[in-house]
Amino acid sequence: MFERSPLHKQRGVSLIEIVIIIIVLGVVATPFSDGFISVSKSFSVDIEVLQSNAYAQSCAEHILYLRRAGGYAGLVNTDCDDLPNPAGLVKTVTIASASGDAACASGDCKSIEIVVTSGGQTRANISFLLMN
Amino acid sequence: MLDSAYSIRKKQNGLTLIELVVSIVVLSIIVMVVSQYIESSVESYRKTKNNVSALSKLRLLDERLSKEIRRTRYTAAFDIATFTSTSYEFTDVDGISVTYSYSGNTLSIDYDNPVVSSPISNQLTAFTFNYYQADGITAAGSIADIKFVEWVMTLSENGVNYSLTNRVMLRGVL
Repeated sequence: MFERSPLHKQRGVSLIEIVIIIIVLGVVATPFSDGFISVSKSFSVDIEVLQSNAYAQSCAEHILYLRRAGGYAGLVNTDCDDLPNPAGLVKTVTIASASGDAACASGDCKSIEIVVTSGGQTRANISFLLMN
Repeated sequence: MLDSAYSIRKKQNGLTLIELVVSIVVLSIIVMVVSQYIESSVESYRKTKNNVSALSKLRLLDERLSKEIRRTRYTAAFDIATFTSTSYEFTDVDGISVTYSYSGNTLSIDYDNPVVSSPISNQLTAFTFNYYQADGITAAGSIADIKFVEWVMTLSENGVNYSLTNRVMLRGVL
């Protein structure tokens, strides 16, 4: 009886079982590591947001200058394309006119929206009214 | 009875050396994985702290430059006195002479009334003023040509560089 006791038969956890457990735990933990990666990614996003905002502001300054210098002139989407853009940032200017056209003639301008993206993600968005 | 119980105990082996080594190896793998998590979170905390500190300084500098340089009057009398890549001197809307000067990582600002001279940042590893004509891209050669003032700055915080470029249109420019 004693020789067949469960105490004697218990073999503990085999190495293969331990390895399987570790692999399973690793698979379970993988999604959590994305969280850690995204925290360190936000580090580079913050400076991009600041740079994008400055870039959008520079563009807005230029557009406002053109409008004023031209005696409240009309505007087109490409008005600040000549400004140097910081590396990796892409700017899109959208001009809305009161009559719904893409560009605005003098007296018909409604609003301007400047969007700066980096790698397809929006980093800055400035919009202002020009209604006159 | 006693005899057979004794024999069972005698048959129970302790841990062999190999089992011990294997368990140490397995444990060390687990510890390695866990320590990477801890390390990466400590590292991201350190980066974020550095980031927040540097970006708030950069934002403050940018805001101050924007607001103050926009106070340059663009008049027939030409209120700009000096415009070089490291120095910009102008008379603001209140008639106060304002001078920005950059040298040796420090950007300083001087006023003539009351006389004040103070560094506004000593962490700038690079700082340049650019002056542009009406088209926004051609460098201005004379005071009368200046319509936009741009600053390109790099702030260093614990060895990490953060750069920012911004510009303003001068007040009263037409």
